[in-house]
Amino acid sequence: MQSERLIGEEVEMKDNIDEFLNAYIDGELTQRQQIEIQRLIKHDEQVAKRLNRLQKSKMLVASLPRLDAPAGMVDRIMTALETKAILEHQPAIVNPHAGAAYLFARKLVTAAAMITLMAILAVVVYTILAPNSETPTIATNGTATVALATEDFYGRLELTTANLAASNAVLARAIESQGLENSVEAQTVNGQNTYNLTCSRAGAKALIARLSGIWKNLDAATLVLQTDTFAKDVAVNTVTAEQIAQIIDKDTLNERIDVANELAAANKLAKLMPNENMLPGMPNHTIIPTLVMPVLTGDNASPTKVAAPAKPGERVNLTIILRTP
Amino acid sequence: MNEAASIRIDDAVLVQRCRKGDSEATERLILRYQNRVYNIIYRMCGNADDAAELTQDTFVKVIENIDRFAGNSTFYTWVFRIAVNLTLNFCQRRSKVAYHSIDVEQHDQNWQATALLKKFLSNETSPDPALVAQNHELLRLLQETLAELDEPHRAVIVLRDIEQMTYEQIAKVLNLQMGTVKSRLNRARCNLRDLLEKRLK
Repeated sequence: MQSERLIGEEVEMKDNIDEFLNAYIDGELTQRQQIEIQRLIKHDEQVAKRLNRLQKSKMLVASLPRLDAPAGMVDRIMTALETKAILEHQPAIVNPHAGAAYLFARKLVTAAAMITLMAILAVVVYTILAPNSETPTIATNGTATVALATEDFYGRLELTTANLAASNAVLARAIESQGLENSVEAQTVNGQNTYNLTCSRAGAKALIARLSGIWKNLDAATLVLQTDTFAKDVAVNTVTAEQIAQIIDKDTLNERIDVANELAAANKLAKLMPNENMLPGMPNHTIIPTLVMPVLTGDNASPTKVAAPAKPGERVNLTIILRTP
Repeated sequence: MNEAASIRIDDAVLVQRCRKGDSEATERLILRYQNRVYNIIYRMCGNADDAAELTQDTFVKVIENIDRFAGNSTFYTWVFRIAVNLTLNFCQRRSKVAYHSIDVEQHDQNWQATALLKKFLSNETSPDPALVAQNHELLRLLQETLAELDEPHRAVIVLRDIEQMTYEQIAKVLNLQMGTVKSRLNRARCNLRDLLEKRLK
């Protein structure tokens, strides 16, 4: 035990001496320490040997030649510095915050686009499937209904008569009796009287029915359908009051034109027949609607006024011209 | 002492100019220390390419961080601290220092180098460093032996015996106490001696 302690102390002492010897050869000792070491070396052969070993080790390492840096090292360093500076001053390709904001914006735009598309689709589906309240429907067989797009009527009724004054009086009375005074603008130009009538379909039909009495005094009666689609207007010569009502009763311009052409052809054919008559036998009398006639209930009773405010699509714009032959 | 003081002042001026973006001052600082930095890095890592790369990295780091140099130590010490730290980290990452293997043709030269080393280390002869410096094979053998030391011992022995730093400078570069420097240097030299003698056997 004691011998082990002695060996340990000896090693520690040797290490300490070595440290001093290293410091001695490195010139790191004070002058007093150097004198002490020199004295120790002179009197202790082992210490001198250790010093020699340490000196040789130091000299051996120190004998390694100094190496110079490779040529162009400065350029390499400066280039590396410039490259790093350029890379550091370049804006970041990916900004995580900007990316998140961009992603959020994209999600918002996508959601808005989806909502818009759904809305458009809903409108389209609703337009197709939902009933249109503004479109009138007429009963066809009591159960089913068919939607029709009605159009305003535009036409001109030209009546030629030798008895202009009487016909004017009848017409004026008819207008008054139907309560259409406010719907008619009357003017007299060059001996012909013009009545611009704008009223409901029922009102127009009632007025025409009231005028049927003057038809026997007429020399000619022509109904001209004003069209925008066709190149020229469609005229029905020797037209009767019933025919006028029949044409007005149609909802669309095409239907009116079809009927007008049919009636014009029938009237022309009737005129060619031996017993020419202003009231030709209609080929299809069943389709002539019943005219709304005023009902007289007494001396003081006024006829039923069927004129009502005209709705869009049911408006009749009829110009009645009374002239002499 | 006067020379050292003038170098330090000169360094301080160059550092100031370098901080202001003077590329000429930067180049002068690099030129002043590049060889010494390269040399100690090479002796520590043992490979020329790695040493060049590490030297470049050292100066890039020095220039980039020159504003942080507070002047508490000399610029020289600061540069070497960066160089040694980079090299020690590099050596630690690398599992083994790569050296050229000794091929068969070199056996004769190796034998001569070993004989010369044996003669040099023997107690009967007085040291003659000139003989060692002339024998390239012995130098290579010495470099290999140096590389066998662990990094802390290799660093302290390179800084002292090759770079000729004082103990105080070594302490600053390696961030050690003076006593640690002394004991570590002693242990490093003893280990190197043991490794060399092992080669002779």
